Amino acid sequence: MKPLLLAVTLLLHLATHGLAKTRPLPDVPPSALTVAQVLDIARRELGSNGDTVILVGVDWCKTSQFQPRYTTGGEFFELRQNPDEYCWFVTYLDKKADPALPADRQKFREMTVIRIKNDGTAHRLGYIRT
Amino acid sequence: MKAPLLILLLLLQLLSPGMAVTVPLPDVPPPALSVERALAIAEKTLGRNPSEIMLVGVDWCPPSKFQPRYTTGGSYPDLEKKSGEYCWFITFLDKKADPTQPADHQKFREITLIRIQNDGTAHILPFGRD
Repeated sequence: MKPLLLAVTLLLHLATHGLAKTRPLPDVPPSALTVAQVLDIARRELGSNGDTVILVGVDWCKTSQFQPRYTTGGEFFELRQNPDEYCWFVTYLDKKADPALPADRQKFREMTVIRIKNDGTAHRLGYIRT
Repeated sequence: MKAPLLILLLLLQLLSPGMAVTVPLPDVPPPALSVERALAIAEKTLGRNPSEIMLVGVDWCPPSKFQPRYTTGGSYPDLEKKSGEYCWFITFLDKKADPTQPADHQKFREITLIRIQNDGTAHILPFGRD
């Protein structure tokens, strides 16, 4: 009886491992830019706003795949254009000054996403409140 | 007839921005480590040849918010605990050697995630196949 039970256990173990849902990764093209170059470009694009922001995300992915992890309830409508293009997306939270609050109590109120294409061109994604 | 229509349109225009759903951003604490420092720690922790890996994501968020944008169908048990402080999550695609393929045909087959805590401690997140 024991060998039979052992054999069944072994077969079950092999079957479950064989059945594990493994998905191959997509063929992600390598970026022409290093992450250091991407960060430099993003900072240049931010300009003088650099001291009121914190960086919270850097992603190399298809445009259709990108969604910022934080939200203010709106939509970056430009993500619908060229959905298959791989780009860098650099996400910042932004302490746009709230005149009702003192300087040390300013909070993050906006999100800025900069899309950097493989050729180094960069621009801030347009945002609409939905 | 034209005047009431124009007034109605104007009113609608004025009302719609006020009706937009605006979600306040959470109080995201600023990281103690710069993104460059986090990347340097990640590369050191990984200790791999840069030609075998590709960086695809850098995120500053709590574990509850983090999910890698790429998947091979498994899960990261450490992320399922859904608790913990804000960390840097660095995502690499990894060309684990496939002995059936020649060197120049190796593809990205795995995802490696590194979590870096605010004090600089880092570890590779263990991965489980579902």
